[in-house]
Amino acid sequence: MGRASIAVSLSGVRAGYGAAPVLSEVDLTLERGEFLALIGPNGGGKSTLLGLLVGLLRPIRGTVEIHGQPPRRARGRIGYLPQDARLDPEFPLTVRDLTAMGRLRATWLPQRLRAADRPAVTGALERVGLAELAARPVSALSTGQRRRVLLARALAAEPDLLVLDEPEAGIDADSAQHLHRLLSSLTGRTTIVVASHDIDGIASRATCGVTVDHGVTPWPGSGRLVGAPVHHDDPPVGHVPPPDGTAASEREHARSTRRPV
Amino acid sequence: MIEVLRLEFMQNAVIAAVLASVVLGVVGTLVVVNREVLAGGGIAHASYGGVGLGFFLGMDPSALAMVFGVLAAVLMGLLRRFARQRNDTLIGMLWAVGMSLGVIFVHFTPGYTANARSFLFGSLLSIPRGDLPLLGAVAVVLVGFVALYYRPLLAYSADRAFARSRNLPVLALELVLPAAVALAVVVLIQLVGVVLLIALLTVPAATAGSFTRTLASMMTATVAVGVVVTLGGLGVSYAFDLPSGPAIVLSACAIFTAVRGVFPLWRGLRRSFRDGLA
Repeated sequence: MGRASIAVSLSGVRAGYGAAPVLSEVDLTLERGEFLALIGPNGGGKSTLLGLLVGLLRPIRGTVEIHGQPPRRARGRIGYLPQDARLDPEFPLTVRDLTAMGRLRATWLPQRLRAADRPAVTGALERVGLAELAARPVSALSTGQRRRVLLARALAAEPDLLVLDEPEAGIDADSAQHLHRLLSSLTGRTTIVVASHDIDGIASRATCGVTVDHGVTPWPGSGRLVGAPVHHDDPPVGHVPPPDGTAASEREHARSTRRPV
Repeated sequence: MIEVLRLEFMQNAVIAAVLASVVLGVVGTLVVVNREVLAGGGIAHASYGGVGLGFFLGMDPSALAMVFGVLAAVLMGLLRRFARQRNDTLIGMLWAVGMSLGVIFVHFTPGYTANARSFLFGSLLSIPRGDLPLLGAVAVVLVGFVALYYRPLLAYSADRAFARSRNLPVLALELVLPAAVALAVVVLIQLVGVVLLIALLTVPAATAGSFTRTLASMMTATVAVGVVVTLGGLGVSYAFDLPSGPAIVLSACAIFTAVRGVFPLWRGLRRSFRDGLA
């Protein structure tokens, strides 16, 4: 695996919020274009791991690199959907304004929405199926729609790395199907890391996966660790015998929608 | 009424009211959407320490109020970030310390100190023409800052965790926003004084927030509401010989009640009546 092809690299990482680390001895490497699923129990460290990737949390020990850089320097190339974005329901904010935040650059200088930003914002809203609601206040949306706008904000950044924390939380079955199709369409072009409890839906579409429970355990078939190149003929790397089992039809769908790296 | 506008003190009051409306449109909106009303009150009261020091040293009380307000704002931002204390506890302490210092400085000031009272409750009709350039400069600085940094401010105000994840200058904004409140205090203190300032900082913005969809439109509408309530309050004050500060605050509260309470109630009653007839 060439260094240039590595999107995510964690080496000897220990991380947490207090004296007791949530994660210990995490080694993980992910190639560009892969779709990595993280599953595991609540409190096992999935969100902590994602926080490390987007630079919201620094490791106590070890190194984290995104495209060969520390996460804080790579933030402009990362699209992030947090698990619990707390938006004030009374805040005066339209769907378009919220999505356009994804185009903000990491700078102290003043910045305006440029001509190139507008199609990216519109495109992101179209991808999540909310283009017609662009002028609507966010406060008038359902929980599921709000989640989709936040996903649009992450997509508007046109990221090289998309980090999603339980994107399926609070959305209905149709929106979930839409999300699955969207992630499948991005696989191979954008590196995706998703923490999810949706084993049949999201995790089954991943090209590789780990179980996160205070450390990371690669799923069977993931080879040495995570990030082995995926080929059409391979058995689905992410198709673990997931803890709760996965429907055969879902497996077949995942296999058919995966793209070569 | 036109005759009244020929009087210089009234002209000064009208110009100051319009400039103050621009300031409260920008800063009041940010205070309300960031739910920093308590911090706004804390900074306003802390600035009274500067007023008292100004009287004690024989310097400009407004200028020293601004210095105290900015210091309190920066201190509040730093303590909030780095001290392991409850936010409202810190604000309450700064609030009380500023007021106490102001009262003590005024107590030790020799001679006539009744003017210090105008900083507690405002005195729009006694604003000298010489103060207007400072009010204008503050308004220009605040509007310019918001115009330049509108998008980062929007992201910071709506979703702070996201702003951090995009590497936006969150710490700087945490310090700049209270500092903007401190600047606004210097302008608004002239209208309604330290004690009532919290109302002017919040009520017009809360009124505008009930019928606007974006942060920019809320700021614009707050300026308009501000002009209506300050000039309306000024008119009421002049017509009925009332203190101007309380008249402005009561005007603002009356309009807020009308917009947020009476109008929706009236619409609901009318709909019920119409449906009943149909």
